Amino acid sequence: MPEITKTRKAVIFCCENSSLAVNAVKDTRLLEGFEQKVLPCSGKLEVGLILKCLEREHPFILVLACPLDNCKYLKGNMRARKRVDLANNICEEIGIGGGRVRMDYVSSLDAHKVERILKEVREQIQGGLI
Amino acid sequence: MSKFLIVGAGISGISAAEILARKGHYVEIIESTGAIGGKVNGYACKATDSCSRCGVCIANTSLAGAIRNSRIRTRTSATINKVINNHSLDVWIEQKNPQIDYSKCSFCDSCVNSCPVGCITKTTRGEFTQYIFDHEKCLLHKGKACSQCLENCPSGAVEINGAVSDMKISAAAALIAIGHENYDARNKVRLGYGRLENVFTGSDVEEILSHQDYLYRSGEDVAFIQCVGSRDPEAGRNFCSSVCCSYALRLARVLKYRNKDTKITIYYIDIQNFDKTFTAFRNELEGMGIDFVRGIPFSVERGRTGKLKVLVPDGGAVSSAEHDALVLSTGIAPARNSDRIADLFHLDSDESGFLSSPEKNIFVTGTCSKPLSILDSMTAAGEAVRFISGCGYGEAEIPEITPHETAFEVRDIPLRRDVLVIGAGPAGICTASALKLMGYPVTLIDKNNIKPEEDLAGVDFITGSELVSLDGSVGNFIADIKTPRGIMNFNFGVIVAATGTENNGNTVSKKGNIVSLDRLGEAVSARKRRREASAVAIVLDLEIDETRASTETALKTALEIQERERYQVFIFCKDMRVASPELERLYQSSRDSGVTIIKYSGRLSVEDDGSGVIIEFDDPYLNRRVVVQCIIAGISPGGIPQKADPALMKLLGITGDCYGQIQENNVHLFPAGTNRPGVFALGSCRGEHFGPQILLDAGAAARSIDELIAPGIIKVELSNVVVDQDKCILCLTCIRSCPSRAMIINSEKGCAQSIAEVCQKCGICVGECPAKAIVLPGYEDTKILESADDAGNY
Repeated sequence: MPEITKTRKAVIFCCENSSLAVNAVKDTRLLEGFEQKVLPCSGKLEVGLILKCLEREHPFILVLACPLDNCKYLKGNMRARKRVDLANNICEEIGIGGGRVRMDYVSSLDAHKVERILKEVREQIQGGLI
Repeated sequence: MSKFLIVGAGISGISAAEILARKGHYVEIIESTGAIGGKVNGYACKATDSCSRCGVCIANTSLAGAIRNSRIRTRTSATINKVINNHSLDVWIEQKNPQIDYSKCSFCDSCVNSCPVGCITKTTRGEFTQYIFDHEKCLLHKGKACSQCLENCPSGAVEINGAVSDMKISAAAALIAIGHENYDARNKVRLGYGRLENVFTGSDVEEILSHQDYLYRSGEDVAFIQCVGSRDPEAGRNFCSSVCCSYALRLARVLKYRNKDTKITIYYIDIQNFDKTFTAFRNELEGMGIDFVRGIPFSVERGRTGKLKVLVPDGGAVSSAEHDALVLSTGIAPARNSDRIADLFHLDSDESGFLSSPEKNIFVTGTCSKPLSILDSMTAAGEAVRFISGCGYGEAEIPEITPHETAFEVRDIPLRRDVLVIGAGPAGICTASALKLMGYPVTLIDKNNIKPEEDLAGVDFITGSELVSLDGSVGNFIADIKTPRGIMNFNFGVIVAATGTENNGNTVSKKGNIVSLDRLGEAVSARKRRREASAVAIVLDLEIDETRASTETALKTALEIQERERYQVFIFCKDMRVASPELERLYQSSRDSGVTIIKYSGRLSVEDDGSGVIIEFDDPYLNRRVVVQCIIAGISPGGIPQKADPALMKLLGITGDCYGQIQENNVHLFPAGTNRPGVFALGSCRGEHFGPQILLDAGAAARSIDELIAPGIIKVELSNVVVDQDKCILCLTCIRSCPSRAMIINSEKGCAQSIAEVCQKCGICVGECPAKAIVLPGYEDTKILESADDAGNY
């Protein structure tokens, strides 16, 4: 397993609805250093996919899903939550540190919330917390 | 082909237009302002980590879909000058140019970039993008011959025909959906809006919270004042606006969630029950530390500390409190141009300014007809369209389904037209007869041997029968029904569940002088007449907050008993749920007839002492414990939320919510749907008990069913999930995890398989499959991982 470096972009996994909020972010500079991967529903996200991204030296994974009770597919966001927790546990266990994967609930209108999250993630990465 | 005119491009008008267009009609929408979307444009998403079911996101999705429809033409900044409604409806309008035809627009921003004075603003909210012109700045309106936006538009979506153009639109019918204006809080001078800093209205707060986390600083102390301009006979507005409690409570929850240090107080008269999850919602709010204070402040001044000092009536005295910011929950008032539109279209206006139409080909919907929430407006718009279609204006051309470019094969799957309705309650009967009128063969079954009051001629009504097994999928369900003549096999296209709920009853024992509310009238009659006046109690809110439906029953019963001789009725409740104009009137008339309403707080105890009933409670006004003796007490049917039939839910393959009621599908989809395509749920099994709302939902459901099965086929793109036969280990995980019941076992191949017309392409099964046997086309792992700028430096 290669050492985690900061040479790659952080990954945003988002569902179709939360991707609309990411697209509506006004200050596009905030999105620099992130690459967005859109899934039909956050419930499609697999632990393997998260670990694969970390293995490919992406420093951070941000998962955006619809608010609870608002998933178009009933419980996709709850499934994603469990997988994110599992991925973090695995990271902790294999010694690369938990907290590399963060999940937030964002509705399609919450562009300002996405901006705040992106700022926090950026500080976290640049501040060397990862 | 008929053409319809819709006045107002708010959520009501747009939803109605979208349905009409899907039915094959052409629709012209006239909007007086420069923006499409109306009031919804200024509303914030009020979700914390969990959705608060406000419906703003779904409204934006609906707006986005509608304006791109080629049958809908929206004209913004347009005014109506003349209406002639003789044999046909002719309307003369004046519109300000440029206009954008969104069915052609590719949202490329060329117009924004090419405008020499920057008069075009692009706004994006969720899926919904639009361009708004500032006519003050526009060179065209300054007499110059600018047409840069038109020349630079690559798709020919911009139209310019002089600065202002006049035109005549002829339509078969018109739908008026001009919406509302918020009550002007400046009229309440003593509450300080417009006079003192940091006094906001609810809509100001919506606007602020849609782009920032707090009102004016973090950790503030905010108070909400309810019923500003609602339930206020002095202001000539003796009705409940029904939306203010919902938005205020949701906004309060968001403020508290975003900053735990925010202190929130809500001043109220009665908190209305606005959603089926209301009790849980209110408990959550109280658990978060939000203060509910009964009483509406009558004066707001700047105190010595610089904070806003609020005076509130407290029993006989006055108490004061200080807050950093105030939010006035203003009610719904008539739109600014309401009088003008009413004159032009000869509409009737009631004492509160709500419109209705006496003309045959003019219809009114949305908040200009009565106070409605976003989701209720969308349902009402659907019902209005059904009404218009029912009036013979419905001759539409069959909409051609324009194939969008797809790499996948598209297959036509035939649908059966037969509909099964389970449950012959009001919701079931209403849906069955609506569908029968539309010409569908309807089978109505009910467990009990009941005789319907309505005329159900033409509906195949089988009593004493129930569904025993169900197979197949949308359009082709195979059902076994146990009838008194044995088990019979039927085929259906669509299934409607309207089974009602099992009455669990509440935990307070009903015996002796304590009876259930629906039996109170009989029980009072059965008693021996006494010479002196007797007190009769109706106890509400005992275990769970009452709904509009149970409040209606309580008020009707109270009024009926009060009008008998020598009875005095007391209603004990925590809050009076009168969130509809009819209920407010009923409440008023029962008070006028002498019914005494007593509001209690905390626990109330009802004890039978042999000769009568003793009711003990805490009175929030007197601040002490009060004991009332009555001869008999009726307690609300209670035990709500009652469960829907779990066996039936399992049989139908649909999921329940936290109360065991059939889940009304998540707000992205239409209100009557369930998680399984082709299965609909209505009425109290879905958590809706209020009669008028049930009828509205039933109508809307009939319309959605019509829309689904009318074409006779479904066009299905074969981009559903694919199962690798060799990898599948038949663990059934996909079958359990699929939200729409699209997975089946193919016994020939010995592996799981998805049904194309049911699969929603969400990929949940892909994520769950332990053998990684399932692939969602277009979202293979390799495709997700590959990225053009993969090697980009951070």
